[in-house]
Amino acid sequence: VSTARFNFAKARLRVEPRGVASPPVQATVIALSFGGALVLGAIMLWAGGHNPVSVYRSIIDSGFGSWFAFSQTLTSAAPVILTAAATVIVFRASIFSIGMDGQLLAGAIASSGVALEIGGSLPGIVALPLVLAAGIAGGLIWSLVPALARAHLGTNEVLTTLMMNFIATSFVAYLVIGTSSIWRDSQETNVAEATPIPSHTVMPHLFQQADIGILIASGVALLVALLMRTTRKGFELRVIGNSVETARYAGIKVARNIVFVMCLSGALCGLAGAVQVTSVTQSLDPTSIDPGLGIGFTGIVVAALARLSIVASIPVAIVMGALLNAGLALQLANVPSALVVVLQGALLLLVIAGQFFFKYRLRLRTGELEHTS
Amino acid sequence: MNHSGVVQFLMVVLGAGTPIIFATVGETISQRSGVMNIGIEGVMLLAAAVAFWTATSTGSLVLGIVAGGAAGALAYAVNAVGAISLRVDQVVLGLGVLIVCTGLSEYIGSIGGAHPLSTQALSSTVKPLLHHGPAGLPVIGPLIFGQDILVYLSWVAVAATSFYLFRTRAGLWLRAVGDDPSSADAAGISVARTRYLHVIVGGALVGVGGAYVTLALFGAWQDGITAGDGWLAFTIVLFSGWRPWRGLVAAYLFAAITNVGFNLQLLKVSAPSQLLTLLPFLITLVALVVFSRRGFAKLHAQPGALGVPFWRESR
Repeated sequence: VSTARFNFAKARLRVEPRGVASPPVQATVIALSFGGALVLGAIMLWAGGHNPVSVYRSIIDSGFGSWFAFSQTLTSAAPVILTAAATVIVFRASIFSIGMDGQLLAGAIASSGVALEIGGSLPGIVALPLVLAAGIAGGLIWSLVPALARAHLGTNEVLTTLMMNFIATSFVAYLVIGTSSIWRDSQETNVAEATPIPSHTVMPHLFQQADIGILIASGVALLVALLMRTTRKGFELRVIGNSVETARYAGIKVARNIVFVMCLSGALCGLAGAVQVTSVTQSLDPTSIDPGLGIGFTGIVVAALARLSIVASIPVAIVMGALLNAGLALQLANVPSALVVVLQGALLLLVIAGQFFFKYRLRLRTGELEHTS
Repeated sequence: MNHSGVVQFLMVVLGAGTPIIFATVGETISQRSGVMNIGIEGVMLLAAAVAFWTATSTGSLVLGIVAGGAAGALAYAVNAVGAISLRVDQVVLGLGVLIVCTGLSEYIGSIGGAHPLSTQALSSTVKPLLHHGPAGLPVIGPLIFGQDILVYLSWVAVAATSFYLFRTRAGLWLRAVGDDPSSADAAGISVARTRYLHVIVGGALVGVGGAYVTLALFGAWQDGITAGDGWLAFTIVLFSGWRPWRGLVAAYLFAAITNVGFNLQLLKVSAPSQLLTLLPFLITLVALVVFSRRGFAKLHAQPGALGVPFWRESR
């Protein structure tokens, strides 16, 4: 009698590239990534003596539990949508700028400066667009040094943009705390506080806590997505992202495109800063202008979760906005708000780890079946 | 500034430079194998929190340092799995490590209910070995003989790593794996094993750097206590051309710039502290741009396969 026997000694787990992952595989991987992050968070909560189910319920409630909560979520999400879009366009061109936070702060400095300087003497319908434009200009200028250095000198953009972040953070603190600039409230003499911007340079109200910031952010992000998909510039950037050599060979001006995309990214972050100023903080308050992990870094997380799609970034940013809002609710329940940061990071790690399975498959190679008689 | 002021300033620089040196050497070893981790700052924070928690709950500084090193090795091991086995983009991966570790450090810092880590204190910090004898000599006494054990160990780590990289066969293999993994693989060196090993050892050194911040420099915990040391280490690795001795010099230089505020206070010159904190980053930015001619990477021996996953089939 002949029997086929599985040879365990010869069995090997092999990694094989695959063409395109089927939608069910993609969905499973993404679901497992999210599930994994939630389980990790639950373990941490349980270890800290909290009830994971009730904490998760309060996170969902504080993000989506009521129209009021949802309106707050949208307000938190608006600048994140813009920094996520800013991340997608540079990462797609294989440029790993991580300077979104610095550019956001530069936009916030510029927009609050314009609002404080000339906002008082102009009607809102004129002042607000000017304030937003100033934010765009501020972010663009802040991205100029890393962009030019990367395009023409080949300077590592990860490090230069990072340095620009630190410089912006200290500069904001300097403007409000270290000087008696217009950003510092001269009414308040005891403690250093940021000057509130004139009320008619604040974003018009939409519903509950939400204002038109979410509409502006989503609209601009969708417009950028459309332009990237349909214009020649967008095509050239895609080619550069795939292979700089191919782009050169095809006659695409690489340096000019790199400057363009990094400046566009900076402009989007600058607008995010202006949205933050005119909607959330209504001043250049150093502690709340770019809270927690940073709106820029959160945007990078969102872009990675959305697998570098601007359109997908919008719903992901709204979920992330809910998570950001949950920080306060958690503190009320005596849960450390750092948990939200850990969850964000774990989600990012699991999702990028999951992308491995989009590109490769694991196959158990059984070795030969041994026939024994 | 008088005589003792100079010594006092140099003592501060030696202390502040030590965690940066450990982190720089650790990341240099990791990057020499071709794997980078932009999340050093987070890893140092996590190690600092774990070390402080261990030291306060066991009363042992040695255990605290070991725990900090282990936390660093573990965090770098996560980075290794992503970079080596899962072939993930290393910038996004490092960012993920940064976020998780920073969050975990704050989480650890806040547990303990009514007595979170930030309210606790060490009964004693890591102290200089000698107080008398040679340490009593003028100027060089305190600077050379009056340091704690970890300062000396940081010098040993630099010397040993430099010797290992450039004078031993295993170091040659390591550089081969980082420069040209395909050739190393063809020569029979296991790329994955070499990378895992060196990334994890490097992580342990980064962890010791983090532990030094809480156990020796401050003797306390607060969120974000490493205050940019990890970021500085990451830039120094590049500036030093992946060479440990240059890394040591750069680490002290950066520590001096960061502590220039202390220096100015001694000189009784007042400058806005917010502008002083941005000084090292501004200098780094300028230096990055000035020294970034194309070919700089080649000139400074950047590992050829830095940040590039190895995939034998796609050779």
